[in-house]
Amino acid sequence: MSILEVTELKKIYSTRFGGNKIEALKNVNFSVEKGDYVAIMGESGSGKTTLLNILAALDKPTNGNVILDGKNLSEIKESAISAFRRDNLGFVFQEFNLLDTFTLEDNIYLPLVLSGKNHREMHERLIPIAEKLGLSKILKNFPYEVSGGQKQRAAVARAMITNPKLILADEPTGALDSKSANELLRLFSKVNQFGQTILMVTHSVKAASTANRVLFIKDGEVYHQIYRGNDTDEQLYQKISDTLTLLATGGGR
Amino acid sequence: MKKRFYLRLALDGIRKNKQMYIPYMLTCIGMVMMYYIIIFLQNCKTLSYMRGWAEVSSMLGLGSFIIAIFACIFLFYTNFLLIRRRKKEFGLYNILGMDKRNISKILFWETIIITLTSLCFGLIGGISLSKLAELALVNIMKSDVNYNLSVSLTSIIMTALIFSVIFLLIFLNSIRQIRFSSTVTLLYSENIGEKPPKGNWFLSILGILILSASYYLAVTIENPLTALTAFFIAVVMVIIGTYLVMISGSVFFCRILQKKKKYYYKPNHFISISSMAYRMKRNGAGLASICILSTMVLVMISSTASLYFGSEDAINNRYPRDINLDYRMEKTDDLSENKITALHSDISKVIKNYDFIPENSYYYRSVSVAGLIEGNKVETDVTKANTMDALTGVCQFYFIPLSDYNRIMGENETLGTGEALIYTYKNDYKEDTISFKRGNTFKIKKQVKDFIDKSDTSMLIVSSMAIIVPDLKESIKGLDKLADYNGNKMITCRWVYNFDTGISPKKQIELSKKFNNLQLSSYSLFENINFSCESQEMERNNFYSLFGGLFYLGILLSIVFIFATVLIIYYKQISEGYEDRSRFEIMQKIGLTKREIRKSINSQLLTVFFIPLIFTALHLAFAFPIIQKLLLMLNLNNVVLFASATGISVIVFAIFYMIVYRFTSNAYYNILTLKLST
Repeated sequence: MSILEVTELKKIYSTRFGGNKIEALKNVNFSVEKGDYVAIMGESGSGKTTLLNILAALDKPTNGNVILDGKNLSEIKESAISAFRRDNLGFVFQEFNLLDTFTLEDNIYLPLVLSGKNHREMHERLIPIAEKLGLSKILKNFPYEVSGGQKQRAAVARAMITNPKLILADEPTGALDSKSANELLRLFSKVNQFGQTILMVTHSVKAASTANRVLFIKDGEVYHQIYRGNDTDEQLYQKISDTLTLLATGGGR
Repeated sequence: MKKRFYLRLALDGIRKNKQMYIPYMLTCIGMVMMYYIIIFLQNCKTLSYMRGWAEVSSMLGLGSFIIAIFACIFLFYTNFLLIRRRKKEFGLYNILGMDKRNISKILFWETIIITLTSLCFGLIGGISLSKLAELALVNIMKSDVNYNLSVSLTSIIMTALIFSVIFLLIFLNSIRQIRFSSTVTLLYSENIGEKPPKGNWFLSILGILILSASYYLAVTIENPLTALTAFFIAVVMVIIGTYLVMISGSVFFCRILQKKKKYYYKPNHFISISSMAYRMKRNGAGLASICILSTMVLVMISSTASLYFGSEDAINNRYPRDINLDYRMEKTDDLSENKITALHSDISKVIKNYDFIPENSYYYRSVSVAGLIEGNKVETDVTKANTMDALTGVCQFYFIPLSDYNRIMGENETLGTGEALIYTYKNDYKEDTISFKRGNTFKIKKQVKDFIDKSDTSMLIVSSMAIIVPDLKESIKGLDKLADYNGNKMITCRWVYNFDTGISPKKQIELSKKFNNLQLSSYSLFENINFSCESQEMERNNFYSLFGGLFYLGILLSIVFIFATVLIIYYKQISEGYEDRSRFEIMQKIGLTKREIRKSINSQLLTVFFIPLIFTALHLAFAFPIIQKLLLMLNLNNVVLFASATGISVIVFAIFYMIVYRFTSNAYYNILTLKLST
């Protein structure tokens, strides 16, 4: 059963005075199964960010449908969309987006507090996640006191604590050193093995090679996709590199 | 060419950051204006003829000092925020090949531009406003109007000097900030998380203690004579206390709330409390300044307004009748029945020429002496008491002959030898006897309920007691020998004759002038006689010019202070808007609805905004008794008037404050929604 279904997605931006029209997404179709781990790759300007914004319900498509767990995003009322996002989606950003006014613990609690959960329940949910992500010792610290990797792990914890149907990650390794990046990717794989569905947008071949499936976007369309099958990370890495080379040199499908 | 280049960069920098720089420059201009006007008024020649000007002038001197300090702190603080926002730009210049010296040059030109603009506009504004101020004041005081534009060169030089020094210090501080950061820290300085405020419990408690102590001081003060000193001490303590409580106490309070998990982890409280802690840390100083300024405004307006509108009251207090004659003699013998009768008939002859019969008239003899009540004894040698006691426990005693009392009050009391009636004012004397050291002892037959309690300012200020005795001369035996170090007698013998006339004000003034210049034939009976004649009509102008002048000054200074307050508020909103923008962006991404964000912002803004107002009201409530006592010294004894003046000022100010709030919070939302709307 697919948890996310994207059909004939199209997004056209008009410049301010309606003169030039920019087609960010032409015709995007794909679906994500429950428990899948999908990476979306593409060059700058290929429409990755636009796609992610639409999936996150931060932006509306010009045409086409996004169906998350049987619910069409475009049919959700404007007033309910934030609550929907909060309950069904988890976000991990390149710049962590932790609030510096909160401790890591409070940052992780934020979505739960907004849904009106009581403190005991929040705490019970936090303990296993913090354990899994190695955050237990630094929960009382403020974001400015910890490293980038730790911040990103806190952001992952914040994304996971609501038990979202889908975690959306936007270049999660982009601001991390290679050691922290590897750690985070291992974490993603581990979380995925526990059944969490993840959709990750990335530039990094290394990051994409940990996913089960890689979609390539070019000029607003899904251009190609690779399934892991029984490949190891290294083999998948090689395949992705080859595909990218092919894309760059303009080879056919 | 090279110089022009830096100048252009500096101008560019200001233009590009105009949303930050315009309020900053307005603040500078406002400060310059405020300072100039106060210095100008202090040195103003037109005003120096005003009664009581010496006191007002010295208070203005103090005010100018406070404003200079205030300007320095506030401009430093705002400039610090400004530079922090611009560090990225400087980092970029640094990467593009400018060294720190070049950047310092840009900053130098910026400082020059800002200094010149603010001094120029500030002084122009100050000069025109001060002329306006002077004209209005002269009008109120009904003096001759002089339309020359008076410019006080000393004031200009003073202002320019003080502010040049302030700007120079600010410039040096900016350079220090740039010099000691590397290119990278400059570039990313905006992204560096700020240390979360901890809230210093020691400073918080200290603040609360200082504030409570000042409140206690203000409430417990008894004697208006000591009120002035106490008032200044209390003011300084309130300022320090407010700053401590706002900066440290508020953060500390937020931290305590955060510890209460049940309360803290609620959607409405969670974001508000944690951001409030940050907000208060950054804005504590600004809020405290707003609070102090508003308190100053309200105190000034309410007290001067009640003085002005209570002028008639004060006049009636001070001068109970149209014509008030006051004769002072050296010797008790001069108060003998026949001498006074001769004097009285002389006065009646003068009055006859004016074609009226004195109405509501009363006259009485009195011998007064100051003393210190100790149980049922009175220490008459005041020099023996220490100064503090002398100020708080001193009492003025008036010996009045029984015959005069009976005549004035229409009573028929009788007293035996050694007996007395007493009438107390501002003290309650519970003993059965009263005995004067170096004087007589009296058995108090009873305390009378009513006697003339006006006509002497000192009656309003220190406690006093009228002792009604059968024989004046016998009663003060012993006391009449007392003398101070200079050999002056301690007792004062007086004959007071007050009456209403029913003739025109012009005639009244004429009559009182006549009395003052006339040598009555009966004067020769007395060994030594001093006299004064005060008429309500003559003093009315004096009172109105003094109180009108004060009221006017109150309004003027209030306008200036309100101006500063508005600027601080506006500046605060703008700079906060920029800082909150990224935070609310994140919240929106995580899943806060725009409505929730708006609600949270609203509640925070409201709280932050109304904290100063609440503190202002609190300060005012506690200042009320002390100010009321100060007003007593100026003959105003109308609590209802002062209370309503205060009430009205607070309400008007609150409404005005709300308007400013609405206006400035729009600016804040505009900054936020620039990004939020997408």
